[in-house]
Amino acid sequence: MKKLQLIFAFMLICMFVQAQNQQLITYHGQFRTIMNDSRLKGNILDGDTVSPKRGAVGTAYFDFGINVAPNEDFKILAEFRMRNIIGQDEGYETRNINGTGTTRNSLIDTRMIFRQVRAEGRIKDIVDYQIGDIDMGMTKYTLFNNDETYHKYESDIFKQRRVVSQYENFQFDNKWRVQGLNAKATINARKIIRSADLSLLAARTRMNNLEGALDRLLVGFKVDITQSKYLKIGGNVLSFYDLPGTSLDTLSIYKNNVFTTNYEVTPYNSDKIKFQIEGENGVSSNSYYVKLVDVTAEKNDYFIDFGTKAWYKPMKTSLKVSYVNVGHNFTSPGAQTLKLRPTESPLFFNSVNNLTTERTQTLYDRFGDETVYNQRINPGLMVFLPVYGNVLPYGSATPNRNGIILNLDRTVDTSHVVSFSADMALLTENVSEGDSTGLELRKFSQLQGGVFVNVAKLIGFKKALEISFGARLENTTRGGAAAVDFSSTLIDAGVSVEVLDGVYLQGGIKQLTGKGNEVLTLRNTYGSISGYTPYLYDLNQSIVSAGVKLDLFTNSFASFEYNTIKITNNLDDTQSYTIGNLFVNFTLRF
Amino acid sequence: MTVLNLHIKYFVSLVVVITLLVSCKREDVDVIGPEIAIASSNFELDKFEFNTSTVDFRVDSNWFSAKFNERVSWEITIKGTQSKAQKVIKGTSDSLTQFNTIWTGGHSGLYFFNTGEKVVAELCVFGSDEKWYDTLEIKASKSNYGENTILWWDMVSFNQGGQGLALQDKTVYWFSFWDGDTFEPQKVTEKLIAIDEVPTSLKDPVQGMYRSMEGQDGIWTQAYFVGSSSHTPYNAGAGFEVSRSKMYINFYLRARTATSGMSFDIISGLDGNNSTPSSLTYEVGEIDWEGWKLISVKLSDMGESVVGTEPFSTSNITGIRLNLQVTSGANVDKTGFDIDFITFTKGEPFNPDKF
Repeated sequence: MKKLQLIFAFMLICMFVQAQNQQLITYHGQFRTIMNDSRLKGNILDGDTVSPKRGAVGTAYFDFGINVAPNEDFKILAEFRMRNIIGQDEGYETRNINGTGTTRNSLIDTRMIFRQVRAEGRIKDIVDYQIGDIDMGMTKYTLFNNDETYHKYESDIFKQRRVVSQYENFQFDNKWRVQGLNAKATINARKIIRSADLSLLAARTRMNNLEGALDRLLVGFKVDITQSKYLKIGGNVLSFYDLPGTSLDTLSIYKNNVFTTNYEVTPYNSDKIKFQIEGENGVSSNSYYVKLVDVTAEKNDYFIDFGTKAWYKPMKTSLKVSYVNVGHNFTSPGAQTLKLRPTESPLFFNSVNNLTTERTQTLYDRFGDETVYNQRINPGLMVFLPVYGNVLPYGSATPNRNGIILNLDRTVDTSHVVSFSADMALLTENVSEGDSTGLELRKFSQLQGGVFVNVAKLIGFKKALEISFGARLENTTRGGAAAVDFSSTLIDAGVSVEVLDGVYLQGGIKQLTGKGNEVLTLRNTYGSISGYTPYLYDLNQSIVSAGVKLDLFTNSFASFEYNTIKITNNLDDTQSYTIGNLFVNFTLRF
Repeated sequence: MTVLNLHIKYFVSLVVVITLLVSCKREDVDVIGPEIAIASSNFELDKFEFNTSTVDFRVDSNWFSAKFNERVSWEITIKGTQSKAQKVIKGTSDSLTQFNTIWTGGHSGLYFFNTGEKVVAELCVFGSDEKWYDTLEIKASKSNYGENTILWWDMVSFNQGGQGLALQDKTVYWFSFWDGDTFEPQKVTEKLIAIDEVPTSLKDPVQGMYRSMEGQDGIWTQAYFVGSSSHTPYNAGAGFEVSRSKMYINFYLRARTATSGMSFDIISGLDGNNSTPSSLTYEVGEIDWEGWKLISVKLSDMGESVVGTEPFSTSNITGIRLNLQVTSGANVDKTGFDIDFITFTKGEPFNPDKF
């Protein structure tokens, strides 16, 4: 309680000071109450007398941010979080991502944290900088937080749920949240080049410990040069490495460097048509020294991503064709780390079959469960589940791929009636994975895309009416003694109708079907293949959601939705189940 | 077009630079990773079974036998029917024999197999949707983890030299219970918590039985020390004749509350009329992880807390002391931890998956 009193006192002081000087201190905040009530049904519960069949939890979060700007060139943001588990009782509890713990008071949780702290400013009108908790991204081959599953055209009802998970895990705009320093500067010139944007980042992603772990740093530099309207080139350097000497007894030393260049050449640009050559090429070097055996394992490789892109401006439509070749030893942790931990058990119903089996994540868990998300850049490749993406599971930087990628895109702009995109990838492995007799390579094909239609504009309806549809089809095959044959289909459909001013009826469907025989590739901490696990899959997942969303005021809303998640296991029907989930989200921002 | 030509020259230069940049040689290999072989549609096996139907892992081991009609990759998962123990054995071959499936009673994850437990083995062949099963009864679970491991305390028997409690404010206590409601908890103090007050989620020992330390300090407004308990099973001393950098203490640890912390001491030598023991200390700090975790600490990473009559000797360890801490402020908060299976190992941390 003392902490609460201190914080409230601090808030009052802030507000008082703000009243004295509107320029010095401002504040922002978000209050969010989330309530979940989930019920598990189906064959998976047959004979199960122990596993939970219903899980209900409600949590209220209050995030209060204070911006202190003593002058135009300097600002500090400090954001506190207060959290209250609704109906929490005194006594024993399990711990979860939110740090649930025993409290003496069942109505007020005395736990309070700094959610984020950041200082930012400008030096001599040249350099913009940020220090503290910052979001960083570079290119798709250096530092990029890839989407966990294709969801470009999903319903708003799913987006609202995804936003909560991403907010709780600081997952914004394909960037990684790190703690460190970021500085940017723009140099304008008039001769050989027009301008150059320089960017530097430095962050610590791991602290040393007495068990022999060294401080691990992420240091990057990026320069983007605009030579003219015809030519832009960039250079990117990203190092992810252990800092020797930061632990008394070093067990291992890890180091990874990525150097890339990206470019855009525009030889033709008229009122109607624009033609561009663009791409990114680069190299990586990776070393891992293990003191116990006094051995350093090294990997070096490169990638090529070379494409041509043409726009037809009257239709705001572009077509791009690229050749990609990413080496099997190309290592770029900042671009290859997965957004979530695919093998982590979900928060609800995490154990089934009389608590003997961990329930695996479903498509719903992957966007609706914030506890399975990943906040750390992993030094090596993580295990992925093929049904959620087998062609480019690590995004563009997926190693051991080469082939052609096509992108057809109409700019997504809600002021237009229709926007769409379609992507196709035809890839193969560069090197066989595990087939030491036949050396057969996997062949991958992927087709994904969707359409968004603003029906209200199309038919002249005064209130909002939007529909969306998206799909992704993937196929993987390999012949020989290590044959695989796996395919998956993901379908997304959504509708949102404004029935009264600020009152929306929303619906959405997701369906994921996966079938076939693949192999999970297991890797050690630093990404080398250590073994395999069979992945025989024949499952249908469907999510049907419907709800009401009420706009309260700017950026604030209340939503009530019911989700039915049905898992049909065609290989073993005793493992089929359905989860019914009532979800209430009350979000106020100011 | 002159301007454009100039820019094309720049681009050509750029391509040359990029080409040079990527001209480093790629590792020339045909295959990466261990061998894998997927079963064809004609795959068959004649049988899949344990070598025997019972085993005493104190003195014996077990293995599987099977014969395939083609070379395939396979995975055997052995699961305990009472414990949460699991052991995974993998390989690529045309048969299962004692040479590629030997099992000496170790486990792959956190949990140990129990004595008297029936286990189920599941054979999964890559590419086949069929699975094969066999069962085995463990007459006695593994107790010997090789000459490089000393089992200090498995937590099953409290009378194994336990010295009781060292209370600071009469609110710290030990208690212990079995993994099941049918057994009465072994009462250690009158402040023992009733078994039915403990949630099911906490009743899962890593091995056999675990012990807990829980308390509440009404004296200190800040962290940290709440109380401690010593354990001295070997009056004659035990250990390895190695340097501290070659010796580890290992145990499984879990928090009972959000403010739980712990430290521990290792004692060498005896407390007598003319002698004082030496001790090393280590601060685990806040137990901020979920569930059980195996803690392994190299003795050379521990601080020297007491220099006694004789210097600390890795071969003359006579006791350990476990200290309960509260890590954040609340002097009214209850704090505690669960602990299981304390070992000392030589050369490397405890790794039951090797067996």
